Formats: sequence, structure tokens, C-alpha cells
Amino acid sequence: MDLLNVENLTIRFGGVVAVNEVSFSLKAGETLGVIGPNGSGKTTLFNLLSGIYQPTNGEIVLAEKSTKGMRPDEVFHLGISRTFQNGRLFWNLNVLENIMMGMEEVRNSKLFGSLFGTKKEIAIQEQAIEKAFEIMKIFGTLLTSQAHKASKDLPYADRRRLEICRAIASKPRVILLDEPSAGMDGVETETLMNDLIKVKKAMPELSIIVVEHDMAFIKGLVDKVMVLDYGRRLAYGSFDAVAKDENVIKAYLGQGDGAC
Amino acid sequence: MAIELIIQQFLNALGLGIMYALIAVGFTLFFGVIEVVNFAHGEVFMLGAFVALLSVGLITSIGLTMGSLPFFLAILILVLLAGGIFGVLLEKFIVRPMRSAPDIMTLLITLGVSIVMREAVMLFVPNGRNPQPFPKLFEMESIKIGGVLIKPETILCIILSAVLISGLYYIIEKTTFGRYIRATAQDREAAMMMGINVKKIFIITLALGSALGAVAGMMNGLSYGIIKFNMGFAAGIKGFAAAVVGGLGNVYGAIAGGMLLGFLEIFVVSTIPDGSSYQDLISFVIVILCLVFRPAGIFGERAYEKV
Amino acid sequence: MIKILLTELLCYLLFLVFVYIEDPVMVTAFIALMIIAGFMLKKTGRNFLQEIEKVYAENLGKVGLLAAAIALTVPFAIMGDSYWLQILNFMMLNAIMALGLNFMTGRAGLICLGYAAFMAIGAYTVGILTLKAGISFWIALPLAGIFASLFGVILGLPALRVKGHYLALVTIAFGLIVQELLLNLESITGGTNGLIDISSPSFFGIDMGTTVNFGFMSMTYQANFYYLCLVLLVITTVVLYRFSNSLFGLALNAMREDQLAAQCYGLNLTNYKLLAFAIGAFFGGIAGGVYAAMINFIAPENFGYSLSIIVISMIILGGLDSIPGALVGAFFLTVFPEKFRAFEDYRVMFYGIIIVLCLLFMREGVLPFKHRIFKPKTAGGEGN
Repeated sequence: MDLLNVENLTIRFGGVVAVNEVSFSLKAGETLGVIGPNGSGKTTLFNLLSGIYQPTNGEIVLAEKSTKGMRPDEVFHLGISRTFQNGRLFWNLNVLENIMMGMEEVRNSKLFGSLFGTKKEIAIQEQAIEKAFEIMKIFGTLLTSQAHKASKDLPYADRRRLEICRAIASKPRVILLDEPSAGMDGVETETLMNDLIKVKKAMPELSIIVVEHDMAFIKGLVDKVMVLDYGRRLAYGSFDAVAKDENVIKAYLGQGDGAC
Repeated sequence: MAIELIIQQFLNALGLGIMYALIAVGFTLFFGVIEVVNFAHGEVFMLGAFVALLSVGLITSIGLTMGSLPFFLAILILVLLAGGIFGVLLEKFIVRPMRSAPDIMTLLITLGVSIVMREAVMLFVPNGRNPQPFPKLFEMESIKIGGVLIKPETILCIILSAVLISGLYYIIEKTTFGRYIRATAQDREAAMMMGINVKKIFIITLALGSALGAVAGMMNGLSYGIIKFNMGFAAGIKGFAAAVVGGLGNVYGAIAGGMLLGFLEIFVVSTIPDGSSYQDLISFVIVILCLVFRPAGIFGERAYEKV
Repeated sequence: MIKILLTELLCYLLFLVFVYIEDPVMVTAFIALMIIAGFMLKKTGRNFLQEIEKVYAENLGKVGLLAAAIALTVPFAIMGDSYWLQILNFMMLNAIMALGLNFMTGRAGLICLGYAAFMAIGAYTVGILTLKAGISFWIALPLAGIFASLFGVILGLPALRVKGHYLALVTIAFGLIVQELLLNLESITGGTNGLIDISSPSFFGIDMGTTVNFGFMSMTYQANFYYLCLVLLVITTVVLYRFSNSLFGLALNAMREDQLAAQCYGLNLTNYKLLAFAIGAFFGGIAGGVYAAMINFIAPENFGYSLSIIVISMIILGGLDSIPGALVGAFFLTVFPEKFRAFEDYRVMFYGIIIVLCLLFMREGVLPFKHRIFKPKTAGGEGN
């Protein structure tokens, strides 16, 4: 039973077809890697999946519900959360607050409770803070030691980790990671990969779609791979199958192992 | 309506529209090239008018007679200079320090500057609170074609604006400078990497836009014969509205927007009874409608936000 | 605890000194002295300041209570001087507006340059209801707030689609349009002449428009309004503080920081924006309502662009998204200019200069309250 089903997804901006009849599916717990040169439509795909853009054609179905016409916040409630290529944290909020923003509790807080500081409201806040700490622990003490720092004051790698924490805080069904290891060196990337494996173990039902340029990173993490080129799906299958695919090799001459 | 009246109003609309266009061009250049909204731009309009007024004495003292062409040109040059210098100073002391701050701050600080300017003129120009009569800088006979009385000021302003806009067009499209400006507007980082001195481009853009705005103010004085310390407020809002309607960042859109606004205002004033009291309100309502239904303007705003 | 007591009493003392000095030279000297002292404290007394900040932040309840207690004694300390009572009343009304605007602009990130419109709505609501419909002030006042809220939502609707500079333009236009409407709907609002002879409210039989008799002392009617304004200010501060420091306030901050990201993390932007406008506007309406009953005369020219600018300058001075900042900003920008009555004409220009100087040199404001209650291991929530 597929959790996520994307069929013939297309979007046109004026004359440019940024995403062209892309189809794929994802089961609960599966991880899909999306690779392709810059401009091949990967981020646009994410924007479509998260509801920022509406497709010109095609459909996205999550848990048998179509996301047609849904706003990003509605898509979020359905169970898709994401990180952003250029990093979009709530800069002046601290680490703890950023993660809490991913949680249901924040949205459900009632004005009345806020006003009178009811026990319920306080309990909800404390619970949310605790949950946030649990999530941060995935990355050891890297984030817990900086929990009250403003996110804009974090070192680069910690910011990316924070984005991931925020994304999983809402216990989504699908999480979209847009180039999570961008700007990280080899050691950091490997750490990140291991951390993501830990996340997968902790949340076995979580499906992940990750856009990446680093092939080693992809190989260690994904169940299948989709290659995009000029908005079209060039190849789709297991990592090994895709790596051997003629079309992919043609498009990626000399990019066998991760340079970009 | 008699044909003469229509032609009359048409010329009025043209004159008004082109004035708004000059202000709008400034706003749109600032937004497109520097990515700032300069709320003080309306006041440069007022500045131009008052500089013209206050330099009459100076120019007369160097031997030129009021009403002659050289006199007019001298004042024009002064006004352009005043506008340009204002732009340079604004860039250096207000815009540049705010580069790193969120956009809202630049907006607020230019707002502050506009308040200070307005109040300063009201307080320090002799009899500043009251409307000031504007001198006839250029003596010309009124022309009568058919039954239509054409004021020389209107023709003068139209010609002057056409010259300025053509000049601007030439600068932007045909010169190297213009190419630098366009490049910076399209992609600042790439422009920097290509060796363009972006800082200098910012200064020039602010100087250019402000100079145009200042001349618009002088023209306003010529056309209506009186100026007041608060003339910049409405002009600024309308100029911004025109720029928005045409699509912020789009110079030709700004010109079109200005003309559109001018014609709309004259239309409302001449057709709706007691329309003149609603003249200002029109622009405000138009702006809101435009922003709500077509925020990118008629010709489209330059893409701004990357996801 | 002692620290709080001492610092607050010190401020009180300085304030009284300021009120009592008359000679303009002395006043200027006093202000200069304060500014220099402030700078020196910032430079050399770093640790001391941090300590004070910490003590204040952890004992907000006590700080507030003590401040309120002090405020109760002010009318007596100034010997019932009606001039100063009036100024303090204005200051408190300004503070209420500053808090409301701060909530909208500082916390939710929705710039508003037409806030005066909300005060106008509140003032006219009270004026019209009490004058023409004979409704009691005490019913009209909350209605003033609610009606202003409604207008907040009306402003919010077009504001939903626009951001940043566009929003600024829309709010300016809104302020101007409301003013125009007040001028033109003569039959209801009295047009340019406004509404006169708005009656003062009566409180349990006591007419608030007459002298107060405390037995040993009597004061002019402004004292009545002083206590009314004080109560309203305290309520406003507490309410907005609670909202700001809740998960709701957190969501508003997230919206301010990055609307798109906030939306992608489940915030229904429409609801939050409209709510922020409605809540912020409410307090403008309250302030306007009290103003009408206090001055007994309102006209559209009282509620123009200049007023909107003045309120904005208060929160810029105090620091955006800072409740103490809004209070301090209102205080400084209402009380200080009074000593320079002779320069009344320069008031608006003064506010403009404040805005420019603050943004250039003191972008965070005088009292940026970095109090983030969502701290690890502290019981999250109010009353740390």
C-alpha cells in the first residue's frame, strides 16, 4: 500500500515546464533519493509537494487524500513537512522555539488558555518543550547544549540539523529534505547520514524524500532513486539500477561518485 | 461635453500623469536596483519645488532675468543638482547603514526622514505653513488653438518631461552605465562578480531618481502656481501607487502607471460632481484594489522572493 | 527583591524631580545628565545591568505589582497638579496604543502606519453612543474596542495579500480613508466640527468630570481619569503579555520571521494575521474611547497621519516586540516633550528625528526585552 502517490505531476511557468510529467510512489518507511543537475526541477518538485505551488497537471495523493488545491498549511496537516534549500529557520527565535513551531500543540493552543495561563496551557507548553528536547537528542548534545541560542547565531551545520529537527517535530508521514548536507564537509556529511539512519530507526514509519548531490550520501540512505533532468524523470529504481542506466550516465558524464 | 473641454482635460491629465510618472520612476528604480522602498522620495518632490522657489533670488543676482530661458535653465539645473545631491546624501547616511537590517527598518527610517523634511520646511521657510506662490520661471504666451486655451506651463512641463524620460531611456538602454544598472537590478551578486561597482550604481540610481523627482516638484509649482510644505506627502503616495500599479522594478511600467493615475484622477474630478474633494482618495483606493487583486502590477513586478 | 524596590524607587524619584523642575536650563541639564549616566552605565556597569535584567525577568509579577503600587501614589506625589495629571493620562493612553501597535507590528510583524484610525473609531464609538444614543460609557467603552477590532479585521483583509512595503502603503491608505470617512459622514460624525459635549462617565454615582475629594486633599477631575487609565493600562499590559508569551505569541513570532516557512509548518496565515490585527486594534479603540470621554470633544483632525507616526516612533524607541519598551517609549515621548512646551511646533519633527536616530544607532530600541520564556528546564509559561 503506497503512502504517497505522485502521478504525471507537471507545472508550467509561462513557457518553462519546470516539472514535466513526473511520477513516483513511496511506501511508509521508504526513502527516495532525488538527484539531478541544478535547475532540473528538484526544488520545484518539493514546492509542489508542500503546496507552495499548484500543479498545472497531475496529482499528488497522500494516504488516499489528494492535495489538490491545498494550502501549504493544509498539506502540513496532512503529513508532509520539509526543509528548505537555503535554510529557512525562524532566525530570531531560539533553537527550542524553532522546533516547537513544528508541533501540533502550538497550533491548537487556545486564546483563552493563553490569557489566563491555565494549568492545561502550561502543561501543554512543558510537554512541547520536553518533546523538543527528545528530538534534539538525536544529534547528541550538539543542539541541546545550544537550546536557548537564537537560530541565527548557530553555526551552519547546526542550522541544517535544526531544520531537520523542526521537520520531524510534527511527526509527519513524509519529510522532504532539500540538500541537507549542502555546505558540509566530508566528516559532517557522514555524521549527518548516520544521524538520519538513527532517525529512520526511531521513526520506522517515516518516509523520506531527499534531494542530494552527494552520491555516497544517497547510497547509504535510500531505498530507491529518481533522476530528474530538465524537469523530466530520467530514471527511477534502485540505486544500482539507476547508476547503470545509460541515459543517466549520458547526462552525468563523469559524475559517477558525487562531485557536483 | 464640448470638444474643447475634453482636449483641455486631456492636456491636464497628460501634465499630471507625466508628473506622477517622473516620481514613480524614482520609486521603481530604487526598488528594482537597490531593493529598497524610499518613503522619503515624495519629499524630494517638495524639495525641488522649494529649491526652485528659494533660488530665484540667487539666480536673479547673477544677472539673469526672471522669465527668460537662461533663467529657467539655471533654476532647472539647480533643481536637478539639489535632487541629485539629496539622493547621494540619502544613500550614504540613511540607505547604506540600513543595508543589513530588515526591509521594514529602511521603510521606517526613510519615513522618519520624510517627516523631518516636511516639518523642517514648514518651520524654517519664512511663512512656511502657508501656501507659497510660485514664480513664473519662464514667460510664455498662452496659446489658443481653436477654443482651447493652452497654458504655456503645461506645454513646457510636457516637453521637459519628455526630454527627461528620453534621456533616462537613453541612459538605461544605450549607455554602459545603463547596462550596469540593469545588470545590478537583475542580479546584484552576479553584477558584483562581473566587476561592477555596485556601491557606485546605488549612489547613481538614488541620485538619478531623486533628481527626476525634484524636477517633478518644480513642474508642479509651474503648473499650479502655488506650492506647500506638505505637497510631498500626497505626491509620494501617488507616485508609489503609480509605480506599484506599473509593477515595481519596471521603469516603463512606472511611466505607464503614472499616466494611468493622472488620467484617472482628471477623469474622476471632471465627471463626478464634487469630484475634486475625492481626488486624493481615488489614488488610495486604486492602490488598495490593485494590491489586492494584482499585486504584481499591470506589467509585473521583478521577481523578488526565492523559495 | 530589594534590588527591584530600590531601582523602581530611584526611577520614581528621578521622575518626580523631572516633574518639579521648571527652569528650562535645569531641565536640559537634567536630561543631559541622565543620558550621560545612561551611557556610562552601559559602558562600565555591564554586569550590574545584566544582573538587574535577570532579577527583573525572573520576578516580573513583583516588578509589575510594585510599579502599579507606585503609580497609585503619583497623583498625591505631584500634589494633584492637573496639568501633569492630564499629561500622565495622555501618556497612559499612548502606552495602551503603543502596546496594541507593538503587538501587531513588533510581535506579528505586520507593519501598520495607520493606527490612529483605530483610536478614531473607538473615540467616535463612545462619542456617538453616549451622545446620541444615551448609552452608558461603561458599555460603550468595550464596544469601542470591539468596533475597532472589527476595523482591524477590515484592514486585515486586503492586508492578507500583501507584505512589507505594500502593507505599509495599504495601512497608510487605510488611516487616510478612515479619516476621510469621518469627515464626510457628517450626519453621524459631525464632520469637520466633530462631536462636542461628550459627557463624562459616572462611576457608581460619582461624576468623573468633577473634582475628587480625598478628605485631606482634593484634586481636579483628571485624577478620576488617572485611575481609570491606570487600571486599563495594567489590564492591557497583562493581557498582551500573556498573549505574547504563550504558544500563540510564539506562532505570531514565527509568522513575523518567515511567513512562508510558518505556513509550511501549519500556520493558517489568514487566521493569525486577522487575529493579530483584531487584537492590536482593540486597544487602540479602548484608548480612543477613554480619550473621548476625557476631553469631551473629538474631531477627525485629532486622528491623522501624525498620530500614527507618533505611536510608531514610540515602539521604535522602546524596541519592537518589547512590552517594557512600548511602555518606556510612550513614557519618554509623551512626558519629555511636555517640558519643552515652548517648542510645541517642533514636536512632530522631533518624533521624526527620533525615528531616524533610533534606527541608525539604536536599532534594538532602548529596552529590547530578550525575555524568551521558552527556556530549557525552567517551568515554561508565565510567572517564571
